[in-house]
Amino acid sequence: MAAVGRLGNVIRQDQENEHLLAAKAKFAKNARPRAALGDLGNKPAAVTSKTSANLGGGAKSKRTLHRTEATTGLLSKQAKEQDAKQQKKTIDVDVIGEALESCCITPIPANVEDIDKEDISNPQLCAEYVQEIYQYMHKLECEFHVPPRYLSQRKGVTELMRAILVDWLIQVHNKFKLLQETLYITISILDRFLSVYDDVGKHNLQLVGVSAMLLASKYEEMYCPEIGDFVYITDNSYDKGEIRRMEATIFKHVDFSVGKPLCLHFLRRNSKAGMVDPTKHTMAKYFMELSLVDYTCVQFLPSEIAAASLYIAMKVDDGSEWTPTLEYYSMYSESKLQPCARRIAFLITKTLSGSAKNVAVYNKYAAPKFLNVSKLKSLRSSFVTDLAAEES
Amino acid sequence: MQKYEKLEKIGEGTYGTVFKAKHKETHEIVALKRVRLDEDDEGIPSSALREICILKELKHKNIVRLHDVMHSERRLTLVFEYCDQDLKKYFDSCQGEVDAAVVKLLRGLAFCHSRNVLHRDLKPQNLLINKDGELKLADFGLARAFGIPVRCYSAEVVTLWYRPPDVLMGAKLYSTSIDMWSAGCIFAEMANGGRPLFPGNDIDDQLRRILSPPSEETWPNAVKLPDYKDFSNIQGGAVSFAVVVPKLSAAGRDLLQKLLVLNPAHRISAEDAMRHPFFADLSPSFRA
Repeated sequence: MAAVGRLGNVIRQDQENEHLLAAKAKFAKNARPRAALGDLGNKPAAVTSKTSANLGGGAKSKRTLHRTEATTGLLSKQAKEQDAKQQKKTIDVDVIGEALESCCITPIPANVEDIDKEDISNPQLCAEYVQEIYQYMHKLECEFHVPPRYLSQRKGVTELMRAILVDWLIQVHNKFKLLQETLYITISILDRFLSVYDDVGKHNLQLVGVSAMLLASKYEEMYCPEIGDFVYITDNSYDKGEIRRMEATIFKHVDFSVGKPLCLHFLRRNSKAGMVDPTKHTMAKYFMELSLVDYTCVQFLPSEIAAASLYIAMKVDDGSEWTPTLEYYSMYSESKLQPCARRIAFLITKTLSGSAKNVAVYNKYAAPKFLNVSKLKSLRSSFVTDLAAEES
Repeated sequence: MQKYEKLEKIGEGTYGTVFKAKHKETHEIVALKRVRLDEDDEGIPSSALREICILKELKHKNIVRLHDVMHSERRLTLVFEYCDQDLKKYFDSCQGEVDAAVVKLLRGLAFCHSRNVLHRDLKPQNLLINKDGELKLADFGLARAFGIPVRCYSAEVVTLWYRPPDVLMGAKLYSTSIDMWSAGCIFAEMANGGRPLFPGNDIDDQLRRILSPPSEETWPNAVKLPDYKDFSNIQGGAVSFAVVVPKLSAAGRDLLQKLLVLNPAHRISAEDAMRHPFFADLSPSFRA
């Protein structure tokens, strides 16, 4: 548990050394409220003891029922994709490129609004390409999807260790003031790497985390943090050379592909289709980040998490309907997104009940900047608790 | 590196040296781009990282193919398909048909844009021609993937001569139109047998060379740009395209005019440009 323990130390250290932090020009403005960090300072120790209990398999059996139900659909989907992949191999890649290029986008059904028709004059919205881009993103997210229970193949990393790491990365991301995309890319790199690379354990899990964030920053940010910043944030647990080597190792093992469709991309599309207000949009973002910490959510596609998150936000905020327009643009019907919605409702309820160990996301979204959405009373509504009850 | 035998140095890319090389067993000729991962720097250069990630996804006959990436302790090596020459040399030797070359450029560009990628450094040196005469977009070191809505990106992109007026004035909020301006400049350069259209010395000179000054009517948002410059008192004003590209047909001039629109919101897209009457004489397979 050394890595996890170190995470705790780092968090405590940050709290004590805020003056040191202020000295670093980059983070001068980013000192976060002590309460949030303080809350977390002691948690890892408690979590550590639970981890060993978990190894005995106690907590795991409960959730399996739903998981199997949810994954069967997914498996058949994967099987189909595999078929498609095999077919693809027999055809020249060039031909596919052209075929895709020339294939027309299916016309929008009569009961669905064309949400892009007003946007032709606004180049920022790329109305011309937007449908094609989202179709492509959906295809790509299926290709990049990691196996749902990948950690069961790993000796060195448990579900809880992953949760603690992600929770800490969310705080680092916040402290470095990075773009939202960067956080999602970081976690996707992390999962893809852990699903194929065996030599990760408590001694280097945090190294994997910061190196994944370094890669994500280089891909997405205009101004990337320096490696030294990552050394600092791990409390010098690793040196620059180790981070550089891990960066290259990860890059190689994720097959040199870092960018992939994110639930954030899909949420923006859905929010536009639903013409939702900032509260609903921010609530959905809160739910999506809760799902990042939760290993069980690895089984869901980014588009699925985005749709389910907005669905819950709309229901709890004012009971809005999941319209045909939303179904069309999100690619999910109300019934199809239930398994993911149940899981997210479970996470919302668990967080509010105080039984969740990792609360970085809750604290982040309790801030006025995020409209205090994590503290909203409506999250305790029967809609959420009923859905959650089906999951637990 | 044992897989390939180095033949000769071809040049320097945005971030690494490029060699011509031969596969030892298959004898396939490739271009190797080597990126050093030295011990005292910031690890993988972000330009290399983005180029690799983006080209892994963009498989198209008008985009240079990244066959493989090799990783060793000290470096990354990108294995590209080999192309004999770049567009600069190609039209210097006057072999090409302008319309066929432009439509290939647009086709590659439309593919990038429909896969949410901006190239951001189109210029003749970055357009390669292989031995079959196929044109390929290359050097994606400044390229990036974009989300929708597009957010602010760096204004320090595109080589000066091919940089659109909005970006010259510091626009950070740009979209696919950024590449369309460059395509227009390249189109005119081809039509003029390799003479660059706007060979400016610096940003001000570059803006002055760009045909007509932006007016309130056609580009109302220009005044809001960070480095907006008022060129209304500059002499010269609008120059006719018939003078600028004398050898180009009326249809060609019309297309060029649609690419070189000052207001990025009104610049033609790659998709639409491919359907322009200028390409009517090409066989349908060219336009597909």
